[in-house]
Amino acid sequence: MAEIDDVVRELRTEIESADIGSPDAAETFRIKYLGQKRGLINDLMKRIPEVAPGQRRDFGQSVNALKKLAESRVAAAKKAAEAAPGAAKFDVTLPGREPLVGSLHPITQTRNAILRIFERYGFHVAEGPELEDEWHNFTALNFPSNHPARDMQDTLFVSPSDDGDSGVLLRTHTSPAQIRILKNQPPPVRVVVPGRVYRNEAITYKSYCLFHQVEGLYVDTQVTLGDLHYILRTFSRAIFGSDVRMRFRPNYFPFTEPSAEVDIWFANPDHPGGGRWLEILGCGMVDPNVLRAVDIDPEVYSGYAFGMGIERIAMLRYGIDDIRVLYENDVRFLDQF
Amino acid sequence: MKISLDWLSEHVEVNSDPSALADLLTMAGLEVESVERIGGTLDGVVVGSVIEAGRHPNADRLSLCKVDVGNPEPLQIVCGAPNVSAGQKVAVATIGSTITVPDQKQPGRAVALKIKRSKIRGEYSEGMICAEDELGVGEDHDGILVLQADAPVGAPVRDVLVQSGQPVGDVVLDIAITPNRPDATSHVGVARDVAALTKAELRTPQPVPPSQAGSVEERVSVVVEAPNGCPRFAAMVVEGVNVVESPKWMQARLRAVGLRPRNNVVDITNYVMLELGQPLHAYDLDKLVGEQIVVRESKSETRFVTLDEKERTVPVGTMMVWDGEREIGIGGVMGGMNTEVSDDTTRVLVEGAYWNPAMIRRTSKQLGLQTDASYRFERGVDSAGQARAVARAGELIAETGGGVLVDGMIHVGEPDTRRTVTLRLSQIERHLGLALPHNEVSELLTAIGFGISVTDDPGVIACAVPTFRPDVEREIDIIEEVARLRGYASFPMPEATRVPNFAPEERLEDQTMDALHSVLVGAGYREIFTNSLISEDTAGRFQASELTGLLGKPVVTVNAITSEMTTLRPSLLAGALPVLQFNANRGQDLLRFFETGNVFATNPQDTSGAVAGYSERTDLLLVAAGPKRRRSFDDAPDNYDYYDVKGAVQSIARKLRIDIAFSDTLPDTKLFEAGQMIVLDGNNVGFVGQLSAEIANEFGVNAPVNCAELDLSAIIASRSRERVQYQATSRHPVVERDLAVVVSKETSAGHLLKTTLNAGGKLMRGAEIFDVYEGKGIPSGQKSVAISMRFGSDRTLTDGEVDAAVANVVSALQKRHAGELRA
Repeated sequence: MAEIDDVVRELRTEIESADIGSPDAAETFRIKYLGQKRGLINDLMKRIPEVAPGQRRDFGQSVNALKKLAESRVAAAKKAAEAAPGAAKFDVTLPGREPLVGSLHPITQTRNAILRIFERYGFHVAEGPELEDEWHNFTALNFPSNHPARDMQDTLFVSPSDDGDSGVLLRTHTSPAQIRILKNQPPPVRVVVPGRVYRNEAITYKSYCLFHQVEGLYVDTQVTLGDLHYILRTFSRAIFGSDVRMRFRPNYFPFTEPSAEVDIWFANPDHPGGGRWLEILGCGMVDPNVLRAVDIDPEVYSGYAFGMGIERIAMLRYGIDDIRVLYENDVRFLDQF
Repeated sequence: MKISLDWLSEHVEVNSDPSALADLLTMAGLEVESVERIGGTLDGVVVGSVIEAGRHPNADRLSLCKVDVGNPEPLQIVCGAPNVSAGQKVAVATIGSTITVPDQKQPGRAVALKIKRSKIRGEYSEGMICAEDELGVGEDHDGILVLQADAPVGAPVRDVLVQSGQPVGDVVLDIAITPNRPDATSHVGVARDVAALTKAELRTPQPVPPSQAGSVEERVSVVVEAPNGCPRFAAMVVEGVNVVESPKWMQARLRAVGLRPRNNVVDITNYVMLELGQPLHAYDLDKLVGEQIVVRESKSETRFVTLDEKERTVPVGTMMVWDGEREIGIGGVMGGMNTEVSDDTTRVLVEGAYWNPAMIRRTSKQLGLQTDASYRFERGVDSAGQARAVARAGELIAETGGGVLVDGMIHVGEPDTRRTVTLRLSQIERHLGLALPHNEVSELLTAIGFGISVTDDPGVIACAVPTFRPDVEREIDIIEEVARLRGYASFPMPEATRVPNFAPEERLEDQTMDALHSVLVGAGYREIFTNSLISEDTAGRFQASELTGLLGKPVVTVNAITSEMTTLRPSLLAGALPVLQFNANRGQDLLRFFETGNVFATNPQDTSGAVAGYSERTDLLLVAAGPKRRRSFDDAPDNYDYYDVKGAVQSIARKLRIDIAFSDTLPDTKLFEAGQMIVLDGNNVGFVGQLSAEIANEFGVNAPVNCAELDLSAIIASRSRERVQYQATSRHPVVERDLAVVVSKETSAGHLLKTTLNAGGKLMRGAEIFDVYEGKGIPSGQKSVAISMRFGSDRTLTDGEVDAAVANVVSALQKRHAGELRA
């Protein structure tokens, strides 16, 4: 009897002290002590006949306690193993399910970026119709009839007229909105006009039969060429970065005088010091004839106006070298924006 | 406008390098678009003396030459030219030199060729004897260039050529001429700006115009019957003309600026045009039938063969030149074949006229013919420059031995005078932001030919505008000249900018657009931009006025480039289907797009818009096909279907806080399988529909295509600026009850829902359909619709109250739809 008590005591010590830190050790432990056929605890139970009948009850309890101890160790080891890194309840390495998220077209994104800059300077947004009459598109903007200036923009007519005023056309620029706004609102006027414009041009990698512009107009007392230069420099920095190289050079538009264009320097990374100037917008001081056409006294008010192509700026921003891809709407293209 | 630097240097000293000159001109309003070097430098090309020219032992057509280039030993050179012979002085490109030779594959272009010691058919060649074109001094490639006999052996060929008046290499600036600068369509005009900008002297040719009248009047008479179209007409006659090649230097300059030399007479008229800006025309005087020139407006449509050998129909009202019997030229545009100067011409009449710019422009447009002459006349040439240009041409003809000038010049019309524009100095500061002193303004303007004089008012100067600046008419035009000459960047930028002391309210348009964008991007729609111009057929096919509410015919343009782009889109759907096709063809199946853009119609009744008789409005299009989601490891999603597109429309309405309803059916347009009209405040504002399977197939999509198009202009107009009024959420529990009702299969489930909501009474907080079932357990011809209802109030509801409300719903469903509760 004393012998069997010793066995129980030894077994208890073994069970308590066994190292079952790894899953393999835990399994070996389970088989050694709790195995159905050759587990030591079962073996012990089989030796109950050796025990005196009066003590069999106590013995059974001791063995049961041993069994519970061993089971609790196995359970604890299993729990510890599950909590360990790398042993997950499900396969976390499967890829996530991405929700389908749409996108705004790069023209819209660029348009919004441009408008935001000018809105910070107190410009508000207005729009005008795409179908226009010749008076708003040309005559009021100081394009004389039968003047080569009208050739600067190849026009798509819906119905041309002989008097140069009443024909209906697709606006060739957003500038007729200047006229519509100034006719309705006394100065000061500070407005940006985004919109679609049309040119009767063949579609190539660098021209499309339509594109989008943002027109800007500021009319007030004491507006000078320096103000125009300043706002465009600020704009160029905001859209192309503060280290942008920009030039502001004379040009000609019938509705501004003096007129200018803004070029931005694009360095060629393959040639140190090489690169080229690319025109991004046309602008100028509002021509007195335009102010007169809308009954604003050019002796009291002056103003500036500018117009830029959104596609042009989008192409420069994103490195797109063919305008047509903007209108192809390839999902693999749209997905990049 | 191409400007040769060699030519320009004749009129002004150019000290800066070409790219600096290009910058200078660009920053003063003459934008230089390109700077091109033409011809080589001829470094390493030296004068050689041909000592021996024998036959190549292995090639009949090649010569084996010994050429002395001043080295101790003569060079052995293999030469293919037929004209090489002993005793000639020739141009030898020595080993190591690079010459520019015409590209055999691309005529008109040149490639660099580095000369190496080489073996040609077994014999060494230690250099190359050059032809004109290989030196860049001409186009001749028939034989080698033979230099003058006294050319020193071993000397650079370049020096020899330059000394003989033959320019070697040139730089050509291509200038984009703006319509306000007709004065810059000539070398003298550009030189004037260079001179003003660099404070250099302008050198202009000063031919002595012969006295008017003289014996020239015996040769020909000139009558201008239409002085409005031709205010001035000058002419000279040259006799004993030898029509030959013009001098090399003149040919080189013409070639440099892109003109092909023809003969001395024609070349000189072109040369003077490019020098002074005045187009000239030369007639073979002997081909004039009557010895007279009559300038008149055509009274009837005329067939006329122009110099380019094309027969043209000249419309009524065109300025024509007539010789008493027939038309001999279209004034200011192009002369006629019938009086063309040819090789056997001996008497030439040189015409220099001032043509009415607007009439020339009209003629040029009507004929679809723009020439170097019409380009200049329609912009306005120097209105007092005719006699000088004709005299200059006469001088050049005489100088180059081309003929004998007949004494005198014919000049019809009054000479033009300068106009005077007054400039208030104060206006310079007002427009440019910087006050400039009188003398600075005066200096700037004088340098480009203005005459400045003082007036009684010290703040005002009088500016006499040169006749070559027809564009300068007003004070502001003069201010622009001051600004460009001084440099735009020289005017100060403000330290601070005035901004208005109010912040404009956000426009409803923008607020609406932002809301749309956030809903649609979140729902997986990609924004597309499509062409507003489509073919007339497509426009007619997809117009669907019944659905879009845009009445009237599509708007057709009158001068479209292609028939695919004649018509303004009457709806956005037509443009979006090709986008589906484009992407489907490229293996994309998850197609979900939206577009906002304007649509158009011709509608005589519509006077509300900007242009009466036309309707223009902004639409929103949704179009979708393909699966609901991307495939994932455990999910092969169903197709995005009708209810998904309809749901997107509902989301938009919820976000915009507009109350839309859907009709039960769609008018039959053959475009859709089924669909619904979208109704806002009792008006149709669009539709949602499933495209007919045939059309979807036609556009390459195998899955159902669902779309919706909404009149965004109407939706924006219906919205107000009211802010969201927060409603406290109830603290009391909401009671949910479900019911399923069995109805006839034909019953619209939407109607059941409407009935449920209406019958639910005040406590009803909302109801959804959560199942529609047909099949086992449901009698055939019937279906079960399961509805979940929510009831609530600002207190806790009792079971009795909710039961009563549900009973109401059940009886309404029963009464209206014969619906029986499903057991």
